[in-house]
Amino acid sequence: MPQIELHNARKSFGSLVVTDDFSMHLDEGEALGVIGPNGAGKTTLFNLITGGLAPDSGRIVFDGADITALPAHERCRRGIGRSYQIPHPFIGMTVFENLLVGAAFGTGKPESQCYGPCAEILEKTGLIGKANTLAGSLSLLERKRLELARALASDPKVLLLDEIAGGLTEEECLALVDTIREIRAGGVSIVWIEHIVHALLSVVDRLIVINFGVKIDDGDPHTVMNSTQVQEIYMGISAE
Amino acid sequence: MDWVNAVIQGILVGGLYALFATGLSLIFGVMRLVNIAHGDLIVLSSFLCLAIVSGLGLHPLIVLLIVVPVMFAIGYALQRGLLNFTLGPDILPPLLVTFGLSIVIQNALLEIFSADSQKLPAGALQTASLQIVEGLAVGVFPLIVFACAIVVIAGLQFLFYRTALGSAFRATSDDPDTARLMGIDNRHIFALAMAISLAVVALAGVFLGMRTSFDPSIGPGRLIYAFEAVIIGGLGSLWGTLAGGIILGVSQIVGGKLFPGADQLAGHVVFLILLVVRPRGLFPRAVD
Repeated sequence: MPQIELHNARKSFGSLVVTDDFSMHLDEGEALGVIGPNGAGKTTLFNLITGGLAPDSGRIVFDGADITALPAHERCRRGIGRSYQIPHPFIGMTVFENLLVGAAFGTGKPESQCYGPCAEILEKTGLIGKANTLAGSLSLLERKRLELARALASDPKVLLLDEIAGGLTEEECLALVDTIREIRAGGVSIVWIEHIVHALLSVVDRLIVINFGVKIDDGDPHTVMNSTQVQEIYMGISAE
Repeated sequence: MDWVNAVIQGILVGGLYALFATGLSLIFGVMRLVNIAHGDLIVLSSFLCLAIVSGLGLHPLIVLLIVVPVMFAIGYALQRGLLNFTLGPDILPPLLVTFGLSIVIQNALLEIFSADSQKLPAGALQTASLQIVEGLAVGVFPLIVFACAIVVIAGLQFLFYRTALGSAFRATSDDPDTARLMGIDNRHIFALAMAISLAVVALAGVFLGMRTSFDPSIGPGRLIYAFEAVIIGGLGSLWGTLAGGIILGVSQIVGGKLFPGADQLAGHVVFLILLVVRPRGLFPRAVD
């Protein structure tokens, strides 16, 4: 059963069309990769799903219900979690408080019931030692992990990851892939935008390619990567 | 002993100034909204109390039980119905809208209550005082006001740092867009912040009306005191706001004693000096 569906979504900023007649779906429990050149409209796709941007036309469906007109905080409460490409921690709060906010407001539980789950998530994401550190003083890797941890705290059914591996060392990246696999094994569906292809391919079941706001390919990751269109976009070689 | 007396009076008046300033500081902290109508909302509360006092014949302190919830509700509705639409990357729309609101409130009050000076009847509280030592007495009413200021600030401090709503305030203040992705309805959070701000304003307005006479035009003057207290204390620090209020109060009373008639000027001069010496205030936030 599809968990997220986009039907003919379109979004433009002035004359610049960033998402054009875009349809896609994500099945429950699936891990979907999204690739495409810079400016292709990948992050806009996430903003449309989370409610940060409203589409000019088209519909967005989550768990069978039309959420096109639903505000962002309602979508979070229904189970859509997201991490930003550029980490957006609440810098004036501790790491633990960052998670508590997501846990208390994203799930609607009283804060006192969230301490345990939040501590578990910190453990899983390797941040437990930093629990009482101000989020503003974290390193890049820690901030990326906090993005992931905070999104998990709201107990999402779907997790949207926006270039979470970017800027990490090979080793850090592998550790992160393990964490993401573990999250997925826990029953969370994943949509992952990533430029680091080998990390992406080691997790996802299906791959979507976006260019100039249009979906140009969708299917088995290795088939898609070997398709001439993708070769063309990424290698700049023309298909003979 | 005269001077000790002046300093004590100044400190106690500082409590009232801190109440003026707390609501202003709170909403600036949560949503970066500078409320130009803040002073007029204080005066609105004074008149609201006056209307109820003259209608029901109750003591103003009892009428607080009505004025505070009413102003709380007005704050929520004002934010939800008007000010939320002015918030955005541009700081100008909220300034203009609250400036307009200030004019509307002043003229509405003028229309309803006329330009006459009014005062809330404080009864025996007006003159009650406690003798501390020979030749040194403090008024009971200023003490009550000061104690209220401390309770309000301690309460807000608790709310901000020890409750889920406080986390939501701080998260929204840091990054409203991300807060929404955490399931926080920022329109509701902003409205609650304004509601709390106006509940404190209600307290300040009633105390103001019991302490001195008031008329519809004095709002902007209270706004200036509130601004000065917030800036002296450092933006974002509630205890700093109390310190700012006290410094302002002491400067005014001691200044007025040194140069009769120059009490307000003395307050402004001390504010300007502190602005030069410590532009970020006495207790600026560590992270900003």
